[in-house]
Amino acid sequence: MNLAASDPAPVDPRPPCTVEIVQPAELDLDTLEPLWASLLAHHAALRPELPARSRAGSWARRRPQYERWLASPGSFAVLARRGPGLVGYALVEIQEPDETFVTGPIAEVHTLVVAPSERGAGLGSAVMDTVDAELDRLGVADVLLDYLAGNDAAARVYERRGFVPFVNALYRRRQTATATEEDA
Amino acid sequence: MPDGITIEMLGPQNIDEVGPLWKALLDHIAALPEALVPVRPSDESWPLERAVMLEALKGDAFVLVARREGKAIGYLFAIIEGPDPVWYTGDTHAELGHLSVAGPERGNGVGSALLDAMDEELARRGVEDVEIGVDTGNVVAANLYESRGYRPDFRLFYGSPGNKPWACLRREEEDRKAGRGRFAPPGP
Repeated sequence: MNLAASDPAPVDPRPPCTVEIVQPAELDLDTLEPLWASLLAHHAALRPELPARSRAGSWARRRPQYERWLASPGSFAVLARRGPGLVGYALVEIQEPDETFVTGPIAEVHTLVVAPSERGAGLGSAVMDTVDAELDRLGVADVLLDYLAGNDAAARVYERRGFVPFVNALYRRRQTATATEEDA
Repeated sequence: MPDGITIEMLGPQNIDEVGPLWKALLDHIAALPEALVPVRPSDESWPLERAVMLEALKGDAFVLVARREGKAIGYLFAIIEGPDPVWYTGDTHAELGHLSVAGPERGNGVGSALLDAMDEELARRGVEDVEIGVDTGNVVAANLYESRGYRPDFRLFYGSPGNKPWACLRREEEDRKAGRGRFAPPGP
């Protein structure tokens, strides 16, 4: 007798995920650090030939960027939680219209990250849906975001949402560079 | 260095010398086969870009100009940024903002000579890392940079919330219908 065929679907014992918009004044930036570190590790694994920073060295430089971007009027974060634990976030800066291209105010999604244990289940799309809802409320219709060349899974998520290639960044470290990474 | 070409720093007081070259770059970007986000008309764009350049030139940014018989035929605009948060870069890294060579001078090595001069200036300042943004479809430029050791980094995507039609194209269509922006009739 095949019991497995009649077994009910396994129930996820964990609490469900929630996704919410958080304004800068209510955001404790340091709670984002573990997820930022997981993204840094993901980038370093995708492109081992590039010189990734240490976890502490990276956050020491990312945190002030987040502070600066969130100080711009309209900027916001979207947090995904499972129970009390943070499992994903997006950080969105609202910018002036571009000088070169025909745009209105621009939303730049500086980071979209989902915890490694939660990837592939649509949580990133749920976070982006919430970003879109807030941008609709703000009346911002032009969105920029970037992903690391080689991160094909991320590119597919954005392509499905109608994003198209715009600018490709290239990077070069001088052959004779001698400085080495410091741990903060 | 190509014959008959000199390269020197351009001070903020002479910035309007490179206005026509900015317009040439804008026309080049607009004509790229994969250009999706429309560019502003150059008479609208240059004052905005000029203000951005002048503000940056108050800090560590610099402009290098290439001349033939005294006339500006190409320039580059380099900005000095803080440390990159992902890759190790030292305390500063450079971003190449613009590189433009006048149409008749393209293919003569002027762009490479400007990039060589930028590398010398960055070496003098102890800046070891450079980032460049290349518009999608600008294959000639991307090949030039890759031949100089640059490698793909982050890719910027453009979109609209909720997978709606791109706002930039909608806006351009409105301009076209209303005869505004780059569809404005020629002035008197």
